[in-house]
Amino acid sequence: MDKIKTAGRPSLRPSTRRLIQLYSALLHNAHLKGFLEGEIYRGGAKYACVPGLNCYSCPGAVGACPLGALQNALAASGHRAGWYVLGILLLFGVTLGRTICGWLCPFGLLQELLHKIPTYKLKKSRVTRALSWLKYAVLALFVAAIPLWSGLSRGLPLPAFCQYLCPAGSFEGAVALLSHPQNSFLFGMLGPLFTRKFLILLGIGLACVFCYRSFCRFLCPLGAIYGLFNRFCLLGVRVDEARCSGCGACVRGCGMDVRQVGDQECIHCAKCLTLCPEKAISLRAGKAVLKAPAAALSTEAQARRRKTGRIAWALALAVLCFALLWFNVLDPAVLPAG
Amino acid sequence: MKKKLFLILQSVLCLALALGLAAGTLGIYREGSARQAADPLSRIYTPEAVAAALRPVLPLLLIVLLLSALGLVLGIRDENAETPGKRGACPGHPRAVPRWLRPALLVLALALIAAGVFNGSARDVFGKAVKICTECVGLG
Repeated sequence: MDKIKTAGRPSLRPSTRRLIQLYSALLHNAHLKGFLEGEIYRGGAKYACVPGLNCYSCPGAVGACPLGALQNALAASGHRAGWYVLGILLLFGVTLGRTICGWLCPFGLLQELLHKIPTYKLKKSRVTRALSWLKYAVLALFVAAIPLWSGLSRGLPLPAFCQYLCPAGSFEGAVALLSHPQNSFLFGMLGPLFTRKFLILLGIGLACVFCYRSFCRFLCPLGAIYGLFNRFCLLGVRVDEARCSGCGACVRGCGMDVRQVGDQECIHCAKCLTLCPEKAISLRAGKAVLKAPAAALSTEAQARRRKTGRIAWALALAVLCFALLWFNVLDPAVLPAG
Repeated sequence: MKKKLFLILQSVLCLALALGLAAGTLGIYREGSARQAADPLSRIYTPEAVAAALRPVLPLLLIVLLLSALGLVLGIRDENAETPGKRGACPGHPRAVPRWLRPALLVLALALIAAGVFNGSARDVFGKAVKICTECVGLG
């Protein structure tokens, strides 16, 4: 039976989640001037870590990458305990968990856009479920063990994940910097390291076309860290156990390798909200319901939510406009010298 | 049938594009390494070599992008991948975590951040973030 669908075309209008992802990607990389000048941002905002995977060598990046910061902190743990980055990761984990992956991470957005390319797709299976444990090995080895060993035994920082694996660094950092004519001198540095990392980037990009969020599911150590907090993070999808019939429609329809809604693989994308026949799933921030099936809410509640949504979007746009203005015009760090 | 062919074509084109880029990269590296072996001052990668490697691949990239746009507008997609699998009943719900855990971890997070500001690890984060780590992004 030909399961290639053409009738019932999906709407081309971006969903709220897509809009938030685009917004977040822009906010993560608000230093647009950097792309025009081929220079990274060096202002005070880089004291702060952004929640998603976003290389701090990207010309647009306005914050530090939490994973890069963690590796450097571990490598320097012989001199100074990296409390700051541990605190930041704990804060992100407890408040947002893997909601960051599903709604805020720029690299997650990139993977989803690649997956939009209409090709045959690989479905999740026992193999993908088993592969999802690989990211914990990547976390343990490349993010923790190697930087720690290098820092403590050799006194040299070695952010192994950044150096050997990270596709965000290759794409947002290397390719973005090399694309600018001012940085043509960087070509002199390219060698086997760049070749290896670029091939890894290609492989991951190709995998994302055929397999939903391949990097996120199988390799991302940041997702592995946030996943540890998924069960008790403040913001995320929650199941009303009183309504749940245990049919498993949520698990079967999910693109990630979840065993239960809200487990360490769940990115809280809220796709399961529409799949649940009992309307038992909602996206919550603590006790407040952010998103629920329409039938689960009264007409007044829906109207109230729409109004709150409009106010939230207005505030968010104001923040984005200010960020673009600050990181490109007003910040003393971006003003021309002299 | 036409839609099936479309998906097959797109799949093959994406594979071909990735292979083309990979072959181009390896080609530049091989030739550049040979050149550098003869003349240690020469570069392995040059903008001209990269442009030459990209030239044959760019039309392929454009075709992939155009076909992707067409496929998205027409709603062509692999529905088989979107059909939920048969296996996977819900294995139950996780145990509730203690109510004090989240506030306690929040307080701990804020305390760690404050400790980091005072012990200078925040400064370390800033110090790394404002420099281009060429090894980290694979530049060498």
